[in-house]
Amino acid sequence: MDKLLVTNVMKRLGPNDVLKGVSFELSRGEVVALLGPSGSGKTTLLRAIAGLDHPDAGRIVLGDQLLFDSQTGVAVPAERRQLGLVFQSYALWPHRTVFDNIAYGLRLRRVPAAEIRERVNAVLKQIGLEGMAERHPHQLSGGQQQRVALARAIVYNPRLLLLDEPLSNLDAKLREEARVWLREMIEHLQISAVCVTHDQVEALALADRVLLLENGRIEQEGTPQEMYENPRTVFAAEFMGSNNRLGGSVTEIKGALAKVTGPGWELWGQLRAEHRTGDAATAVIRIEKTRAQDSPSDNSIPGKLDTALYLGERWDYLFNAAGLRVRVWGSGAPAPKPYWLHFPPESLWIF
Amino acid sequence: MRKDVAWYGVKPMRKGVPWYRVGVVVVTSTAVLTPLAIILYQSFLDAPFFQPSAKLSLYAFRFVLADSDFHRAFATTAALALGMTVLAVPLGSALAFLLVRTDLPGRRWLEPVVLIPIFLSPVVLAFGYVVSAGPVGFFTLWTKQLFGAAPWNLYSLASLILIAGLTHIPYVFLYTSSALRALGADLEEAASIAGAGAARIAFNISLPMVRPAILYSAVLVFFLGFEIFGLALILGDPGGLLVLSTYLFKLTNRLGVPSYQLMAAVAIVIIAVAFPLVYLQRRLLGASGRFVTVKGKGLSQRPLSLGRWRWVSFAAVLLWLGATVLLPLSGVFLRAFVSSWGEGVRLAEVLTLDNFRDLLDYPNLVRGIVNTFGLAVIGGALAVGCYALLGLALHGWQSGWSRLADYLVMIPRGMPGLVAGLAFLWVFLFVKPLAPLRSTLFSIWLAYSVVWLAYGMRLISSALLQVSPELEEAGLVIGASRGRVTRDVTVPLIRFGLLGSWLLIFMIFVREYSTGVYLLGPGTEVIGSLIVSLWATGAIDIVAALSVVNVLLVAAGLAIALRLGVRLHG
Repeated sequence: MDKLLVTNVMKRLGPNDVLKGVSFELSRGEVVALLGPSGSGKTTLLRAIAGLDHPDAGRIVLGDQLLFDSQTGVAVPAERRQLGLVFQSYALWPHRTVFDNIAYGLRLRRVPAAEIRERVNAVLKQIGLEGMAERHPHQLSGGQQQRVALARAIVYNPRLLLLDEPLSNLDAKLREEARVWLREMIEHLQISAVCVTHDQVEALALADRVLLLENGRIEQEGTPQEMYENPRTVFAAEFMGSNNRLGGSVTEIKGALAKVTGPGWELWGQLRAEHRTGDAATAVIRIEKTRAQDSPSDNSIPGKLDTALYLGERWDYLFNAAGLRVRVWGSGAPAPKPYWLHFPPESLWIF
Repeated sequence: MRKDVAWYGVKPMRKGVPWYRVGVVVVTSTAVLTPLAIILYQSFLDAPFFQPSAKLSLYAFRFVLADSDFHRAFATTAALALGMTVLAVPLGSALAFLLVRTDLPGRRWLEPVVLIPIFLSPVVLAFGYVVSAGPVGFFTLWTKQLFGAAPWNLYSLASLILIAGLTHIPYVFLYTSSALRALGADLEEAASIAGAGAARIAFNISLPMVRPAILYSAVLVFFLGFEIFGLALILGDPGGLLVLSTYLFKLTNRLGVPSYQLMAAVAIVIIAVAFPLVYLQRRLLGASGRFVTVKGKGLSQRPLSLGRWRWVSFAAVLLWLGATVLLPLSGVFLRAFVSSWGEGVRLAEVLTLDNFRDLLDYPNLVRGIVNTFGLAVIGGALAVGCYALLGLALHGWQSGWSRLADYLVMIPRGMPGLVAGLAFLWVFLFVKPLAPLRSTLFSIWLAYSVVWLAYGMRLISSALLQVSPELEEAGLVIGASRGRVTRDVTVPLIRFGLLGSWLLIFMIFVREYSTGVYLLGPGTEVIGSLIVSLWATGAIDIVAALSVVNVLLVAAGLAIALRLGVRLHG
């Protein structure tokens, strides 16, 4: 496995700048998730690494091999990059059996037939599809197809594994299982991988490091924990989890803390952006950090319960607090009584 | 962000010219442009190009444009094209709506049946009308016996327009129905729930939404009307009606000497009208595709109820099928199995198989049948192979060359078969190394393949459209070269599409008649051109027998295609 170095990659499609200079590094054995909403340029970046699209500018180096450099005009074609790619649609060849789908990369590399059989059978065993070698893709379930697609991409020991929304074609239940399985496989293989996804849970679960893309730029990067617990922008905070948002203005600053005031409420929180007293600001808090309690305390606002949704594992309460809509998660059916909503200052971010 | 990196316009990375692709485009351009060039050149000479005395001049154009016959032919052609468009477009759209969207009885089996007229040779159809409804046709005489009179004249312009209009309805049906199918049923269901009946829905929702497809088919039918040859030759001649193509055809013998320059001038006039129409069609086809993307969703299509109009509509469709398929074909078959026919002849007394026995006595007719079959089967396969080579060469290739090829493919569409056949005859006469090939089937094959290039390319590209690009990219990433991906992924995946194209090209080649007319000679006989030349000599018995063979060949191809589930349109 080699180190991947992507430097200042830009791509323009028609009138849109899809990538506006993206740089990142992928160390040996690391899994990086490219996370972002649709149109953020994440798939374009993946295709540029794969060699399926050529960027307009930038440089991509894998190990000691220059894959792409706009200044010297180097562009190694996809077929000579020695990568593995799992497509969103899996792109299994419908006219070939599972065995032939997986064996194709080995045949291209002129591996002897006996060894091909051995290696394909080994990987089939690894993905738990022994005995399905002679089936055609349409005879497999979605989850099985996804495993075959992965097997096809790793059987020839690629230098880097690329995954394009690998779980998005599975239904919700299956996706959770596949997520666990995929993480285990990647750890077991000790492979470097780049995984594109629009689902933050998927990114958090699969990756060692998350790159959050927005509008063709990297908004923030870090470990899954950093990304979730320490977002640097409202966008990152909103994208990584479910929040309550309160708009107001900064009325007092004390070191790293600031007070945000709105009509009928004031709350202390962590200062997350350069603010001076009087600036408009947005206070953001994860729903699971917001609490509903019976009596007033520091940093709380009285709230009136509007409605509550039963979601099985938890309840989702909807409050009206000083004209703001606030969600809180709870474990039981709510009683009809006055509430105070508590926002722990260490968990309330002020942007 | 660093600003020192060049922002746009980084040069294409792999500078290597894709020689295979460029080569295929160059060969195609040669095959397409040479005949066009030779017609253009000939039209500006004052004598046939092989005469040393031939000089550049505008004589031919001056002669043709001053000829009153030419004026009449042009006017007749315009009236014919316009008349049949006015007739075919509303009826074809209605047919499409009935078959695709309503609970018309038997709509499943009607679908392939209504396309039959497309696959029948126009000369066979026209001949069928003559023996069925001509002055002494079967149905004319039977009607006279029953009612004392048969008040129609088959050889009038009105009849020609009516027949041409009715037989071109399937073209309108083809495009309108596929646009209607792409339309989500929920759009109509919304109107239905709001209280609209089937007719209201058709006029307020469905047909307006497929307007671009209808407009496209209107231009197509007008264009086909402009190029009409077989119907006009057989049905127009007795009444002295000339259209542009038959005027061109008659010019051959007009002056006693080969008047190539005049023919070339007429051909150029025809091409000059056809090219803008072809270009317009291309623009409209793009527009109709774009329109269809504005669609609802929902695949389950509950047919709209026609209520008490259900059986009335069914009867109307059957009436049309009777008039365009049953009437001419029954005439052809009856005529092939009788020794003679006329007033006072009783059918039972004249039944015979002699016509088919006679067929076997003429070596050129036997050769014509064998040639047609071989040309359609083997030549059809070779043509599909060539179309596939070109299609694959252009597949996923963005460059000036591929855009050039897009336009090249359209050029033969602007040359009616008769003109293209003439052009290829001249190519074989003009280019000396090709001369020995003129009296072989190769000349016919080349002309057919070029004439049907646009159609063939449409078949190939719709097959290629079924292959998702990701399937090919998967091969590239794994390490296969472009060529390898084509061999291992693309071609196996379009195999069925290629088979279907072969069957369609088979039928088209069997049906084709006008392209072979000028290339007809010993060794190059095909059924279509034999019918045209035998019709002129009045050998009705043999024309009838040949027509039956022709129809049976097409029917065999159609049966296999339907059996295999081949879509009858690209």
